[in-house]
Amino acid sequence: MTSTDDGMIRLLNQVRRHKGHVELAAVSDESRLREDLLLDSLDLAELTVRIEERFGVDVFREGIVSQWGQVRSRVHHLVENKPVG
Amino acid sequence: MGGGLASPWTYNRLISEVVAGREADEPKNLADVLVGLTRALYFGREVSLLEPTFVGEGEPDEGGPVSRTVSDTGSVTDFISKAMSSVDEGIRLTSSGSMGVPTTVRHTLRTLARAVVVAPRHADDIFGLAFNPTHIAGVQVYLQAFANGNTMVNLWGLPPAEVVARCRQWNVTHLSATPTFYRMLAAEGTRLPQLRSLSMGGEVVDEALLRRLRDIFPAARIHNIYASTEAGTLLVSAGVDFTLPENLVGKIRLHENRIWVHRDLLGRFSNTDEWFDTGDRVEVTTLSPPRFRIVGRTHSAVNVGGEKVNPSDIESVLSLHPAIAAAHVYGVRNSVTGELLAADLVTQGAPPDEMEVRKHLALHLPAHRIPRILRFVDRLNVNRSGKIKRDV
Repeated sequence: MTSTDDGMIRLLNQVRRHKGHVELAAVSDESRLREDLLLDSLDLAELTVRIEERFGVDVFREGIVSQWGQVRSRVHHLVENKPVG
Repeated sequence: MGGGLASPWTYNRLISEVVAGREADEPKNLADVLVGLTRALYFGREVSLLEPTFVGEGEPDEGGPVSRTVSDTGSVTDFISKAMSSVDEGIRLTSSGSMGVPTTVRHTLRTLARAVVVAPRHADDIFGLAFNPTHIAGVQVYLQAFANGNTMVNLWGLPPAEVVARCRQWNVTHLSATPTFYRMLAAEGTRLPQLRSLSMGGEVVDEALLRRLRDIFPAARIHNIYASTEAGTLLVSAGVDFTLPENLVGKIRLHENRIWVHRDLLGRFSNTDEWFDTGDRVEVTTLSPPRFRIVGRTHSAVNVGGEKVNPSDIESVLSLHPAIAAAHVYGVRNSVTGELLAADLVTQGAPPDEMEVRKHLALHLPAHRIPRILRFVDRLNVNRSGKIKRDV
């Protein structure tokens, strides 16, 4: 697991904690954002704001995805291709 | 009953829920709106056009919708008598107000039903209503469906998987919702081939969302609707850009990059000027023919997934907490709900636990009005007159 993945799970747990859900030590790529991770639209909005603050990328700019692995790979892709400066 | 699917809204059930004051914070207004509308429609000039049908309360797997006329349904008689006894003072809607101060707008059927189309081609439309029924957009859907005698299915506030299930079960052909709703629905990726029309409003629409919707729902026509609580529906477009239809030339103008509406098009409220500044900011994309898109608002109301929130209301709630000396609430842009509330907080005494502040907020406010990003700061961003500086 990369430090980016670690950071993302921390952000996810922050959103979940605020909702009174238990924190997760690990999240599988197949976890579904709504059904498994219990994130509604406001939670996803909070998550995307926190991801943007931390990594400087807008993860749902091209649409919301359904699984954690898709969020992870988008953030990796966007961070790697981020324009410098 | 398996699956736990509830019946769609019947008009009579809708009204009875409304009269019972389902929303504690605005029961009177809610009742006024729908009873008033129904009365106006039912007893107004359009009465000959109306043969509303109602969906029965039976189990979903017992052969689907049951059509009945108004006169067959006892509880409808009740609601009509309620409607008749209501005072004819127009239909009241609450606007977030162009200056961030809530305004009551009194509408007549003329201003509210401007965009309603009654035609044989709409006879089989089945509406999924995903707007708040007490807000201008929900009222527009209600009118369009009622005037054509269509079934309405309640999708408001439901999670996307439940929305998909109800759309399938009741064969919904027309969806009407905010862009935030469609972003969440698109994430499901479920194709609903019976959908013929997707209309959206209440928030700025972006190209990425339209691309996604065209991909998932290729057979559905897309309507981007610009409406305001003060004026009702004003503009309809198939994409992000709007043009001014001929009948509104001279009634709507673009001035200082904002949309202004002539008072002829407005409901009644405190406005006395000939032109009303909507506060909605536009960007002109082509000059000839003139095309423009809505890019945001100039005033301080924050639009969280189509719900307009006045930040100073939330600041008042925060200031009730004993450990908070001052609060500044503002919107943060995001690609899910358009904006999300954030708060900068100056504390006094022992620093509060963040969860404790969140609990305080949850006690006083519905979810979309709760700031999700809390920052503890030494001082607020204030301007020289001592007021909190709002981003424009």
